[in-house]
Amino acid sequence: MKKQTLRDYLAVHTWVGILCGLVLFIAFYAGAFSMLEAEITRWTQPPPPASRALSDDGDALVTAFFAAHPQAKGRVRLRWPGPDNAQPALAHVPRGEPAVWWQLGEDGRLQRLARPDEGDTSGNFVDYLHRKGGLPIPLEVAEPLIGLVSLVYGLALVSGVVILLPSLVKDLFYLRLGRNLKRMWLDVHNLLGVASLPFHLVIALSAAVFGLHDIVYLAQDKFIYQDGLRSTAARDSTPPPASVDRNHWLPPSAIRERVLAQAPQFQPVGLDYVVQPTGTTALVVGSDERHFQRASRYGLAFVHLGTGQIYDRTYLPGESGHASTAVLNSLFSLHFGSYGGDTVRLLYVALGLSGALLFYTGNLLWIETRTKRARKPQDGPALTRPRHVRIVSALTVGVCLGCAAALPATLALARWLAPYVDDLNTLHQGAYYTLFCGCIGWALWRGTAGAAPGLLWFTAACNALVPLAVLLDPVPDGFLLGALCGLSALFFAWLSRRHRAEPAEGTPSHFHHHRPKP
Amino acid sequence: MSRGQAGDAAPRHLLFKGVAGLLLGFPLALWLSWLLTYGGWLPAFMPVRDQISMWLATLLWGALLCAAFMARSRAQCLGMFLLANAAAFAAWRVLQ
Repeated sequence: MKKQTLRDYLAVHTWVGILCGLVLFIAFYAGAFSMLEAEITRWTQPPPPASRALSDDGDALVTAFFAAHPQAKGRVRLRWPGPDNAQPALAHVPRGEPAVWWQLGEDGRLQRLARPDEGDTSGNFVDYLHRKGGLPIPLEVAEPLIGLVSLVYGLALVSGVVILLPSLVKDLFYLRLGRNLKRMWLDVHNLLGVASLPFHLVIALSAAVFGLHDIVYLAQDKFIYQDGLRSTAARDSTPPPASVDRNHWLPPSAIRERVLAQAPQFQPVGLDYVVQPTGTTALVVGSDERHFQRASRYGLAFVHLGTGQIYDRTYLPGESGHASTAVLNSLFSLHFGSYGGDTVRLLYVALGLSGALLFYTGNLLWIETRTKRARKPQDGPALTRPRHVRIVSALTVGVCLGCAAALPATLALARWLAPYVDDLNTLHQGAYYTLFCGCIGWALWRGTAGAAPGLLWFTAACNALVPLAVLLDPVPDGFLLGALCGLSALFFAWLSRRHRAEPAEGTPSHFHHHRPKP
Repeated sequence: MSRGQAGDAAPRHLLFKGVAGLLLGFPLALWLSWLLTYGGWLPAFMPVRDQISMWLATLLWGALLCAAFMARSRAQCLGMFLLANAAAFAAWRVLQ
């Protein structure tokens, strides 16, 4: 490849990285936490324990619901007892409206369940932070933006590989930790990038798809498919069986048994009825973590309501039977880490944090490069940086440490305050963005060198709040989160101590004095 | 000034190429993804073909954005994208 082309790709890599790096840092950092989404929700808002006043009969619950709501439309979700609910619970989700949860009393009456709306949980807050890259705007606006950022992130990956290729063999496992900070950060950046390249390529593609699929589908519907998207998709879909009269539906427990007989490794957690004017279809939601799963935690089996026969195995883990569905399920699952159980989830936590570090080191490289350019012999050993580099430097410290501090702090606050507040999401939003913006403001006001020591200690303290909350009131759902935040607290405390002990060497010059001489 | 130095000093129009890749790569990716998934190469029945086509369109869009920076000039970048769009559109029309 021509030298000029390599230089072009280097410029593209640099500018794309510096423009999108901080948003991607937050998306990856929150993404690592979102691997614990279910545990986080249960930790801050524990589900109510089993009650003798409530029935354990899921079949009777469904019967009672449809008897009381014969005209119900939309999705009706039965959830069998599990970690999220000790007794059967049923959600009615009319199209475009929030879910209403029901349980059955021992007296046979439906009882409205005071369960938090899905959008008002701590796990959902972490998930939205991840999906919006920390941008404080509505999800509908943020997702296409993040889709474009992900497309450009793919460009950064490809251009990074192109510029690294000529020296790949020589430089790949060369980690030169020393006084040449630019060299050190470059080695760390290259090693992280190449070692996790397949993961990053899958994440870039899948995140671009998640953000842009509405736009692509709309364009395909209007300009590409002459019959429109709906009828084009229907041609390659397994047609649902003829609608079964409600009186002839099998009870949910019988459907569950028949699904288990057809797919013994599939562990059903619930049954969804999709009630439409043309008829009702049903799908069993469940998991089989030996295989790739279509949804973020589960796979699906479409069942005949009268016989319990699985008529569409497209999204049944490991049993799709077609290369196309296997490819599709693997792409979803590789993004969500919904396979391989807790081992893979922990690996994804590590990959998410290493991804955040990749963007952080990319920004440091940009800063170090521009610092070096500004050096002049007559200035002596002190480094100088132009104003725009000082701003990017302060933003890098403020945004990265702000996110790393505010996220665990808001979770610990939610754990303590959830019983006393009606709107947990407002608490999360208020606490997170106050701390996050405070860190950025502090870094911009004091400059990188002045703000870094305090911010590092502050971040360590905020992370320590979570293991403290876990120790004060130990419950299994808090253990993984507590361990993650405890390790983070130790890491940031170590960074801060190292910064104080060796201010002149070893630590990133990024944290030190860089004001230009008058 | 040598020829090489003159080439180095020439403006690279990276922003133009990026915008061209983003805007003209999109319709090209849509047509190419249709040709690859609905052009007659694959079995008559293929579950989730529409979803695969959407994923492929996004992948191709990203790949075309990356390829845009290989053009030597703005004219070459624009010309290649317009030509490729015209060819893909013609193939899409013929194979309907």
